[in-house]
Formats: sequence, C-alpha cells, structure tokens
Amino acid sequence: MLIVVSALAVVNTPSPGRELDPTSLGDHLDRLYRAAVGLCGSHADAEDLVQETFVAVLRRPRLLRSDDDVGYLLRVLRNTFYSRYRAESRRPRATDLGEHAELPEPRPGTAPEVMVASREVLAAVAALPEPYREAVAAVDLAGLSYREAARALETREGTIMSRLHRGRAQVAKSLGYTS
Amino acid sequence: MTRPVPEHSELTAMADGTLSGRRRRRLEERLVSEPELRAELERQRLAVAALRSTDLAAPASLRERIEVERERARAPARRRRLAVGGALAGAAAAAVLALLLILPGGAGAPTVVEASELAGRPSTEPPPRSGRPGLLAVRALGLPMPDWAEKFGWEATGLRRDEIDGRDAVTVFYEKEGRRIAYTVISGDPLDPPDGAASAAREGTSLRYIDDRGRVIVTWEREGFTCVLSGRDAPPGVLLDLAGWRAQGKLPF
Repeated sequence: MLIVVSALAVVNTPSPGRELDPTSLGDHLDRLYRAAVGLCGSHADAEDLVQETFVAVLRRPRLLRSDDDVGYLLRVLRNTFYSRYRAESRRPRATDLGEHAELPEPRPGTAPEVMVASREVLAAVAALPEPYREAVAAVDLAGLSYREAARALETREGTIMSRLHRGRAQVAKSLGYTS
Repeated sequence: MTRPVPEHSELTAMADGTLSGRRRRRLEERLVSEPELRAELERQRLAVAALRSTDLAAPASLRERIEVERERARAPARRRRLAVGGALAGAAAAAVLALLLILPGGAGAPTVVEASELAGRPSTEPPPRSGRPGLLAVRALGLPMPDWAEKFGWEATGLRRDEIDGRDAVTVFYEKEGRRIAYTVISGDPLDPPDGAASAAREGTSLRYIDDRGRVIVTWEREGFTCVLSGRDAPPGVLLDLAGWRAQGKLPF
C-alpha cells in the first residue's frame, strides 16, 4: 500500500526539472562570450560579465525546466549585465572595439583579416540601441532560436523578430552594405 | 491597389533561412517583382552572414577564470558530502570532522603570515592592465582587483599564482617610488588573523594588521576570501588606506 501511495505521489508531483550540470558550462563559453561582447562593447567587460554570470550560476544548484542551458545562461548574463553594469551608468563602449582596440584572442588558424572583420561587426552590434542589441546578441551571436531568445529576454517571439530586423538593418548600414 | 508591406518578421526569417511553407512562397513571389524588397532582404542577409561569421572564442584567461570558479564551487559541495559521511559514521566522529571543516582556517590551512611571505617572491606574469576606472583588468579568484595608480600612485607591476597548503593564492604586486607591496587573495574559508593583530576600519571595512619583523601585514575579508596586503617599505596607515579603498563601490567587499 505504501508503495502505491508513493507511486501516486510521484505521478502527481510536477516535474522539478533537471539540475544544471556545472561540468557542461564550459561548452557554452564561446557563445556566451560573443553575446557578452555584443552587449558590453568591450572585451575586458565581457570577460568580467561572463565570469560573474558563471559565479552566480555556480553559487548554488540550479534546476532548469527545459534543455535550453544557453538560454538560461544568457538570461542570467543579461540580468547580471543590467544589475551591475547599468547600475554603474555605463553605456556600451563601441570605441573599445574600434580600430585601435586590442584584438580578441583568435581561434587557432583564424586569419587576421577575419579577426578585424569580427571586430568591426561587434563594434556595430555594440552601437545598437539596447533592445536591438539584445536580440542580435541572443540570436546571431549566441545562436539561440527565436523562441529561446524570447524566453531568455522575457518577451514575445514576434518582438524578437522585429527587433532583429531593425538591428540587422543598422548593422548592415554600419558595415556599408547598401546592396 | 498597393500590396501590403511584408511583416518585418517575414523578412527576418527569410534572411536567416527559417521562413518556410506558404509564407515563404508568398514572399518569394513578391521578391520577383519588387526590387526594393529584394534589396532590403539582401541587406538583411549580408548582416546575418557577417554576424554569424564572427569568429570569436572565449580567451584562455577567461577559461582559466571559469575553471577556478568551478573548483571553488565544487569545494563546498565536497565538504558537505564529507560532513554527511561523517554523520553516518557516528555522532562523535561527525562532530570532530565538522569542527575541522567548518572552523575558519581549520587544520592544514596556511596562516596569514605565511600568505604574506608571497610578497617576497618574484612576479611570474606581466603587469595587469588597467580596466574600468579604479579596477585592474584582472581578477584574483573572481574578485576584481584595485587599480591604485591614479588615486594613490601605486602601479600594478606583476602577478603570480601559487598554492599554499592546498589553497589557491593569487598575488598582485604594486610599486611606487621603488617601494613594493603585494596584495594576495587566498581561496577557501577565511583565515584567522595573526595573534596580536591590531584592529582598524576604513570605509566601513574591518581590517586587522600587525608588524611582523619589519613587514606590515594587513588582512581582511572580501566576499568570504581572505585578503592580505603586505610590504616592508610602506607604513601601516598607507596599507590600511589601500586595503579599505572601495573604488567608489566598484570593488565588492
């Protein structure tokens, strides 16, 4: 009888989700870092931001209700960004990624011209108004789907797509794409 | 009759290849006869291609920092597991084990004086760059480190990483007019201040300090870590001011 009751209790209990695996966090580092550079407009600030995000996530076990680890991490990253960096009245500094900025660490085998091009693209992202920058960072830099980005940024999919459109249009203009 | 302008969302999805079905076919039909729409889609596609080809990897320094954070996060979990195991083994044994694990600076931990001796060793890494105002572009075990150059004239000149009695220790060296001091952050539970250390406070932070054979040692806590600032050539007042400086709130304590 006890077994039956326990089994029913299990069936009726909502799924608590699964615990975020700290050992897998490193797999998402590149995507989060790219999103952070897009948000911060500075490699040094992006490093700090990603580290603070990981510190916050690792502080205690985290239960996730979906398989979307990156989306969850991006949400924490965004919250950390606004609670700390915006509190300091700091605006993204596109100039940090400008012509004279130190180049970020390349992947092995990456051509210098690709690095320069990446820097220009990231500077264009950093110069976007905040809502567009967030959408572009989430979808085009961190690689989230519209749905994942909407969940991470706590808005609707349609809003994400509209912001993406405007953000990409401004990036295209900054890069001189007139087609 | 003019045809309606496509939704932004349709062009967005078309540009990154996620538009499908009837909406895609409808938009493709319009693209054939509307050059302005084609041009707009082309700009979107170019932007998507540029954004998605951004080849930027997280720097090795960041990976190291994350690894340190993971280690730090694992350590308390290990301690908790050990404590549970001890409880099962017997109440008396658990009490002893818990005491050893919970007491600050428990058995086997380095002392503050031992940590301060790192000040006499050479730096092994180049000077950290300046970061945001008041901060260096480096962290010690996750803690932002102060840039004292502008406010106090102490320039960061190097860095080293050590392990003392199983604890990670990161030291940043600073110099001013030929004098050298060292700021060390030690991982793990807080260490006890040295016996006989005097008390002081700066900007609301409690500091303990002592003169150890001509070397001033200041120790305090930041976010649960033990910090040690020491040097032979700087008076206690100077080191206390440096230790307690919060960089207008940018340095978490």
